[in-house]
Amino acid sequence: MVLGARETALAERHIDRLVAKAIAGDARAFGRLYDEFADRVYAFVRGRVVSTQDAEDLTATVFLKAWEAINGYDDRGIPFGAWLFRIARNAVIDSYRRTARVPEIASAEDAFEVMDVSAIVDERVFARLEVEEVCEAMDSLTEEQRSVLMLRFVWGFDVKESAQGLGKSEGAVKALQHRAVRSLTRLLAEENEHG
Amino acid sequence: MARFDAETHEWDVVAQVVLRSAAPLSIDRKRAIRARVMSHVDHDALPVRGLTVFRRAMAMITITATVLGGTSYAAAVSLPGDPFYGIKRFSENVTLQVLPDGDMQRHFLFTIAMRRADELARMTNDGADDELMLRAFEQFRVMTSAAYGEDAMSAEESAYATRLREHVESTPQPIRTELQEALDNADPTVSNGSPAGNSMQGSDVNSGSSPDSPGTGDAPAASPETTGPSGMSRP
Repeated sequence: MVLGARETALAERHIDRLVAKAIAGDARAFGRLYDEFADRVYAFVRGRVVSTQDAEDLTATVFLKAWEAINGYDDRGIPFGAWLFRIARNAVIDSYRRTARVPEIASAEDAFEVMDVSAIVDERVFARLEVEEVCEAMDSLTEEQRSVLMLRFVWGFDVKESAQGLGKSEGAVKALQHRAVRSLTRLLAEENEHG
Repeated sequence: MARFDAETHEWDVVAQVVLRSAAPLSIDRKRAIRARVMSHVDHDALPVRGLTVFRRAMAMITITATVLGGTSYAAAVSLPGDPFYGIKRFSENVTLQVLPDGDMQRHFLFTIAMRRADELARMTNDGADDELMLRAFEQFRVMTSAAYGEDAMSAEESAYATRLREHVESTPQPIRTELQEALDNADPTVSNGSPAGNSMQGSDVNSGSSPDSPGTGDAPAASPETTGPSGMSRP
């Protein structure tokens, strides 16, 4: 469902109030922020760890870190969601470090070469794809490309907010997004050919 | 195979792929994680409970001093950037953490918002730098948002809100409009630049309000759980 500008503004105001209360030490308000963002944090971390247990642990870690740091939030000048995403992304990178695995982080320039996708994926192709194949296609993207797509579609961020969440310029996010979309459609088209 | 609008179609397909790849969190597991998180948060949120008798007494002295008129004169009159300003903020935070939810807490939040407005007025007169001013405005916005909150206000609480609004109206013009805008944004009874309810009567709430500002606070805020993913806009 598409959120209208008015609904978005109301949602933002609602989040702002909860954040303000949480900064003032209101645990209940923080609990409601958890209710608002837990699904998105989990969706982001689940694709990056092996087990659901790890994903749940990491989700809890993200919110505990957010609670510890929330007093300093107001100085950062970015929306709460983008701030929380940064914590989630750093927590994932920390977990990779602990397990000696390194996520692939490529700059926009090093990412997939943009191809002319002549074989655009048909709806019917998509319908035939299993969840595993879909996840495999996502896994083949770079960490930054996956993050951009996750921010745009699951977190509901626009380009500016995505840029704030990733600590990049809007131009870099647009480039990442363009490459991610092209790469994903190319991969899905290949799946179709081989399938 | 039929040809279609490549860009649009790609965007739709990718949206579906990403959404399908995002494993959902079951309600039970969400609750379980919430319980884990909140067990820590609840513990931290009320630190005074875990304090020794001595520390608790010290906290109460701090709170009493703050409520009765402020820490020290130097801290009370300090502005952002001053050495004593941290003491002032610390005292406020301690007080906020131990005040029970409800009238007292709301009163104190409005009081702090009033202090922030005063500070901004003085900073304007002193010619404070832009960075400090921006931070002070953000603090005012945070405090007014917390003060208004989401819950309906009692008549007494509405009186605090009215006092704050009147106070803001007495600030110098370079900052008044922005402060009023922050109040309008925080106040859920303000709709299209016009306040609803008795608490705002007589206030100049239209200044600084956008004619197409968001609607009333009575409407429920959109939640990702009820609206679904909201990122389906076009690139």
